[in-house]
Amino acid sequence: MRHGTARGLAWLALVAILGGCASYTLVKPKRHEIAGTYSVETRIAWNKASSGPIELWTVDGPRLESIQFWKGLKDGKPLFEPKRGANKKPPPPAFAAAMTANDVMELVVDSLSRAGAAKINASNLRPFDFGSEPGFRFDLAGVNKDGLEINGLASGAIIDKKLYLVLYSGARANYLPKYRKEAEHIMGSIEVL
Amino acid sequence: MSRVASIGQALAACLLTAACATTPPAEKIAPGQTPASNSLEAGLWMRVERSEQRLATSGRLVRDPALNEYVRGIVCRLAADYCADIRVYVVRAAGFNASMAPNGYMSVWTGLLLRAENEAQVAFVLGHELEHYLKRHSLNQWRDLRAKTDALVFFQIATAVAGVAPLGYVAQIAVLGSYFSFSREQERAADGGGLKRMVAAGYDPRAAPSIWNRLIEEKDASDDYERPLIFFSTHPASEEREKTLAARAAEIDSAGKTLGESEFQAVTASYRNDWLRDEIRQRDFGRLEVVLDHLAANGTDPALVFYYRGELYRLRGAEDDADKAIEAYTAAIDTGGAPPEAHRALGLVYWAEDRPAAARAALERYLASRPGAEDRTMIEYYLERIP
Repeated sequence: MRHGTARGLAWLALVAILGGCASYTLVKPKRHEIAGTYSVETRIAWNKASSGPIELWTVDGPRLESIQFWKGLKDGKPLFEPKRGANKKPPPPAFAAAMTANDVMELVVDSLSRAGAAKINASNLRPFDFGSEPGFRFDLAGVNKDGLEINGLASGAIIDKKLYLVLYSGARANYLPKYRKEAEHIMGSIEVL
Repeated sequence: MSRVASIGQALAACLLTAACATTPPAEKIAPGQTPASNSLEAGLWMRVERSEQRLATSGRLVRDPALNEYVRGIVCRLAADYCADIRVYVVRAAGFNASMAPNGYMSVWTGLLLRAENEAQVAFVLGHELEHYLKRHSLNQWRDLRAKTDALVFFQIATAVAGVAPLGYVAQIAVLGSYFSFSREQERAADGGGLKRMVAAGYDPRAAPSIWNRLIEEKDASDDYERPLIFFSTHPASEEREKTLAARAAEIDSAGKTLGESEFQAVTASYRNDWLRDEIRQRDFGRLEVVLDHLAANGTDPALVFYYRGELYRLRGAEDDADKAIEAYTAAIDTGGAPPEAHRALGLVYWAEDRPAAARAALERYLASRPGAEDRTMIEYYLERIP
């Protein structure tokens, strides 16, 4: 994907993923491994791009909806690496292995906010197993840089001092509800390897 | 002929003559004045109109009618006959910034409103911005640049500024409106003009040097030493300017002039929690400490200041910060006005510090004080695991 197309993605943070020349491959409806860390099952086809610790799936384009998988983020690493040439001071908020679920939710919100999302708010943090491991879920709401209302659902866990996180987000009016059931099915199908 | 073609011809004509290099500074803009369609100024306006359109639909735009009306009221009081020519956009963004585009749109960041102590300080900053617009400083800068370079180089410069990749998206919106870093002379002129304008509008001139001094203090404390404040990227600042301004303000009789402190506090107090949350998300802890020190000194709700000091120390995580966070959260709670989240934050710090009894007590107080807590099941889950 070209940089110009990537501008205005559902969450600006996605520019960090697709700001370069990411290429998509087809994800067929079946069980898939996420970089050898956990597996998920999808009932519909998605398009996949990958960058650094993140794998992104989308049907209609990341500007409208996407599901992102973090592939086991290590202690001290940020959710989104700053783009080349971007201001790195102060450093972006980073994951710490000792974080609570509240801390991770705050990390996600602050990272998205710093990446450009506006008026972002997280809510409804609750315990929810990530596969067979104890984890958490929470909801997100905000506005992207173009003024489009975006909602999201996150599912995560800290396993062996690494952060496993799945984030589904999309335009509130249409695209979030359009694939939300499929995203929830994927989150419910997680099997940690 | 299309407007773009007209502007292109005007640019070409100007490049082929020496006229641009010798053109005197443009006169002050008149109320209601718009540039001729085939002029250089029209080209400048066209470029900033695009950034204005982006800002007008931005997710960061504050749409609260009361706050917009208040800020616009200050601008109109300062602008007088020019009020109808100016569009004001209040932007939800951390950091001190305000800017004015050559076509008459002004953006005012909530970070500026968080830092100001009174209406007069805001009036000085906005009056300063108005002076850049009224004296057509951007147009003069454009002419100067073009006289020294050729069009290609100029547009590379303009694009580099407009792109401002290192500054990030919010900063990009701000800088797009101004394009140029103003010259030292233009800054002095805007300071002087802004000072006169605020006094004419009935504001106490002593507020002018105090907000500049406040900004310099924050710049020096910032963790972001490579690019301290976005405002300085287009407004070169110096201690010398602050001293000059202080001397000029002292010569003006401030009798009967207002700081507008109570009005300002009444309008902005309810937004401070959100604006402080925006600031802390930037994780520039040195800068935030200065902001909190000033809020404490100007009578902001102590519960809010102590709570955000606790948040600062908790997130910074330097040596002794856990103890400082516990102290700050406790102080916030002791005021009797802390948000229930102070109990939760205190409990989680105690838990991280392996003080289970204190952690349990604080988290239970959180649930008791926030019966509808959205994270109740998560906190109960923690409580089951705290020994």
